Parts: sequence; C-alpha cells; structure tokens
Amino acid sequence: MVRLLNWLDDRFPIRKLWDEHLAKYYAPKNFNFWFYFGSLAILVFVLQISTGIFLTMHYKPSSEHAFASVEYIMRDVPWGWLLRYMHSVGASAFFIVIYLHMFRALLYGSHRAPREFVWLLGCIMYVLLMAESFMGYLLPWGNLSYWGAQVIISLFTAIPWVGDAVAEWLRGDYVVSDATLNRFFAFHVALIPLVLTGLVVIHILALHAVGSNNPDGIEIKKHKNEDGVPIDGIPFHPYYTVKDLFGAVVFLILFLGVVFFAPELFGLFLERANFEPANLLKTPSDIVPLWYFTPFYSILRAVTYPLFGIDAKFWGVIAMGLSIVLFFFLPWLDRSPVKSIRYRGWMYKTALTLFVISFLILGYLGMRNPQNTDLFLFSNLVWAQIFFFVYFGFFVLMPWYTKWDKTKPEPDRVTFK
Amino acid sequence: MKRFIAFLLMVATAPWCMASSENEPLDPVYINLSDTASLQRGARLFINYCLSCHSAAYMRYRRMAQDLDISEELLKKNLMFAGNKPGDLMRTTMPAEYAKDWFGVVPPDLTLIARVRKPDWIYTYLRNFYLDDSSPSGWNNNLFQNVAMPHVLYGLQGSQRLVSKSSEGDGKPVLVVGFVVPAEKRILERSTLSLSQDPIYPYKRIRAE
Repeated sequence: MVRLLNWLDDRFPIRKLWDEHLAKYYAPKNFNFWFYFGSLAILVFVLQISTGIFLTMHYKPSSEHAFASVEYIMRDVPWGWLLRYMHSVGASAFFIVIYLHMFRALLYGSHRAPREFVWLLGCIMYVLLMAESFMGYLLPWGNLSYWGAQVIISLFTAIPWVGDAVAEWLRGDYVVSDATLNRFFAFHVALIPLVLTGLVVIHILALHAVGSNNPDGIEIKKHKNEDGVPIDGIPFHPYYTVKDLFGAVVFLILFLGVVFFAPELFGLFLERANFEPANLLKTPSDIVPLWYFTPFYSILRAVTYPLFGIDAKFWGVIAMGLSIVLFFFLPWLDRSPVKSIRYRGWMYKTALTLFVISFLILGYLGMRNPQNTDLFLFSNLVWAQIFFFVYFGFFVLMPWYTKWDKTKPEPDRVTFK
Repeated sequence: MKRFIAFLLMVATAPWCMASSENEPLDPVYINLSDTASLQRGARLFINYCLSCHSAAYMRYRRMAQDLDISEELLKKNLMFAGNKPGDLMRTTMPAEYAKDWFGVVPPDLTLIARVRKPDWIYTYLRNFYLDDSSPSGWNNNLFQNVAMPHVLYGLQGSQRLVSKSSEGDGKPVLVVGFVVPAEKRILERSTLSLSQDPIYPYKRIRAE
C-alpha cells in the first residue's frame, strides 16, 4: 500500500494535496455551529449528483413522456421513489444549507477582505444553483412546472425592444414546449452541474489560499509558531473531518426524516398543482415558484409603478435582478473595521435582524396572493412593498451604518463562546 | 444557538400557519394506511365504480395488488375485467372521444388525484351529490357546482336534495345538503368481499334485488 502510494506520489502530488487541504490545512480552533454548512453543501451536492444520475437513467425528457416517466420512477423503478424524493427534497435542502451558509458569512464577516474572491465565487454558484433548480423544476412536466417556466421566461419580454425575441430564443418556441424541456434537461444534467463542480473546487482552493474565517472574524495567521503554523489553528483532518461527520449525521437524520415522512412538506417542497400534467389550456389558480425563490418573486411583484414611461414589469425585473446582484457587492459595501457580529455595534445587528425578517416575510408573501390580507392591517402587496425597502435598505445604507456603528475592540487571539 | 432553535421552530411551523387559511370547508377524513383490509375494499370500490370512466394510468394492476397485499389470483379473478394482464397500466376502457361526447369532458386520470386535491376534498366531494333536475345527468354537487359526473355511488349512499338554510351570523344563505329522500335499502353490503362483476352499471344490482 505504501509502495503504491509512493509510486503514485512520484507521478502525482497526492501527499502534497492531502497535506495542503486536509492534514496540514490549519483551520481556526473556535469554529461553531454555523461552520457546518459548507461541508453540508458539498454533501447535498454529491447527493443531488448521485441521485440525479440514476434518475436520468429512467427519466424521459419529452413533453409526451416526462410526466409519466416520473410516475414510472415513483412506482415501477425499484427504489425509484427514494431516488426521486431524495432529489426533490435535496433541492430544498440545498437552498436551506446555502442560505444558512451565506448567513454565516454575514454574521462573522466571512465575505470581507481577504476573502472577497471566495464570496464572489459563492455568489456566482448561488446564481447557478438558482438556474439549476429552476430548470430542474420544469423536468417533471407538472402543470406548475410548466406555468412557472412560462412566467419566469416571460420576464425576459420586459426587456425593451428585444424582449420577445429573447424569450422566444430561450424557449425555442412561442410557448414553453418540448424544445424548452429538452434544452432545460441538457442544462440541468450536463452544463450547470459541470460548471458548478469546477466552481466548488475553485471556491475551496481560494478559501484554502486565504484561510478560513472564524466566529471572531480575526486572522489566525497573525500568530504563527516557529514552524509557520497558526497557533490558533488545528489541522482540518482529523479535527474538522470528525466534526463535519457529526454534522452530516445530524443533517441526514433530519433530511431523511423529511424524505420518508413528509416528502411534499405540506406542499412546500412538492406542490399540489404539480401532480397534474402540464396543460397549456389550464392555468393554475396561483402560479408561485418554490419557496426558495419566493423572496425574490415578492420583490418582483412589489413594483407596481411605471417609471420613465416604461411599465412596472420592467422595473420589477430590474429590482429582482438587483436584489440578487447586490450580494456580490457586500464585501465593498461593508465599511466596518471589525468583521464579526460579536464586535459590531447595535446598528449592524439591527440591520441584519431586519434583513433576515424581511427575507422571511418576503418569502412568505411570495407564496400568497398579493390582494389578500394574510398579515394584519395592510394587504400582502403593501407589506411586500414595505419589506422591499427594508431589504434594499440593508444593502444601500450599509456603507453608512457600518461606518457610524460603534464597534468593540477585537481580541488578539480567538475566543470561545 | 437558542436563537437558532427559535428560528427553526418558526420555519417548521410556517406550513401550518399557511395551511390554516384554506377557504373550502371540507369534511375531514382519516385514511389509515396500515388498515390493509380497508384499502382493499377501497380498491374494489375504485375498480367497480371509478375505473370504467376514469383511468389510473400511471399505476399498474400488479403494483396495486402488491402494495395492497392482494394475490395475483384474486386480482385476476376479482379486479380485472377488461382482459388485461397484471403488468398493464390501469387504463379506462372508455374511449376518450366517446367520453367527450357523453359528458362534455374526458374524465380526468385519478392516479394522483389525492395529491392534486386532498383526501378531505375527495371525501367531501363524493358525499355531496344531490338531485338536480336542471342538470343533464340529473345530479349536481355541492362542492363542485355543475360537475359533469353523475352520482356514481348513489347505490351506496342513497340520494339527497339540496336544502337551503340561512345562517344566523352574517345573514348570507348557506346551502347545505340534507337527506330528505331517505336512502334506499343499502343493498351492497360493505362488509362482504364479493366484488361486482359489472363495473359499468353499478346500479343494476339494486334493481335486481
């Protein structure tokens, strides 16, 4: 075994890679709960790829057979139901894990210098993940899949002059059809997973070049011993491989609990209207995207005023795009001298809390009819408009409130809380 | 950590908060998925009363039999009438163009109907047919107004008429279905496992008695 390893090592830097990324990658010793979600995201990614490969073996990407082939997987393919539910629940789990992973960055300033590139790569991957799930959602060819795709693609018609042509080019038809299904299938199973895999590797390489952040938001590389090892760092393997393994077990208990006992999660992960095959003549009463898109959908619908002679739909699309694009700029919008929320003042803490609340409420409102009054006092639309400003306020006002905020002094060495 | 648990609780309870705002008043039904005998009776009723017009075309006879613990012998003898094989999909024998002609619509496939609607909806729907002379089939439904489907389970439930009743609260008239026409003799005994050999005309047995 050792000889085989030596043989390999002479031809490929296997020991060097092992050391650099696992055995001698020194991660801060004070990681807490929030630092599980990176490795969990990799776990979910691997689960999605592996269940997806087997689903591809039985799925038929054609408008005539797609819906029936999913039901065939559910009933006739041995263990097909498990593959399908793991994949559909996995999609939602992926977003839960990624949202918590991103929230960790906002808590402890993981997106700040010197980790801006890691953050940018993450943002690109997030956008790709949205594209991946949107295209995957069309594949079962349910009625909501169909109309969801119809609505989202029609957003491109809001582009002045060329909008209709762009939408037609994306669909490959005048309506969402077999041509659309086939290209979405190609993107969903080949192009996007391929690009995502590459970006995951670069994301980790970039992280390992600058080193992991920690709940104190201070750089452990400032204090090294005579061997050049950070004093507050511990080798990723075995310390964090074991910790992440524990996280993976807990995650899988929750994940499989949903897979086995509530795969639809009360219509949140699989919607009722999607158990009907796609029907061009039957528009579902409420066309809503799955829960992970609803905050952005709310923002889209919140814009109801035409500006500069261009109709509201266009500005809604711009606002929705901006609500995602603004994440890319966070490392430069934040002017605070400290990174971690532990040493920030009340302003950032309030802003972040309001942001999380607005994200959740916009998400809730995105699933409801805007004309209803599901909260109190105002209609859903008005509430969405209020939280629209809270959401954007978090980003737009950030350069000021982070600068004025009274911070506490950062410790010299990492602490445990 | 405490705050995170609070957050998780909030997320976990969100679906219930949202589910509470449904507006259709449905009669609740509890389906016990481990009561195999009940599920088998359900399959018998489904095949005798529903499958002649509706299909369950994403399901195979054998899959159903295996899931409900029905032997292939019993399946072939009692639940398959159209010369199918156990590996066949549960399609309807009624051609779609005839169905369109007779009912105005093709009866929808029912494989996933409980997931599209919900069990409570189906339970309420099936029990809310009432006599209506103005409708082509002679039946109407209190949950699904002007539905093309007649009251197929008439022989099991009996017939009922619509009784209108004004409610005390907001003064709006509320339509309720009540048993004014007494149920005829319940001829099909629910407890027996005998299966109707005559799926197209379930009423015939009533007349025969």
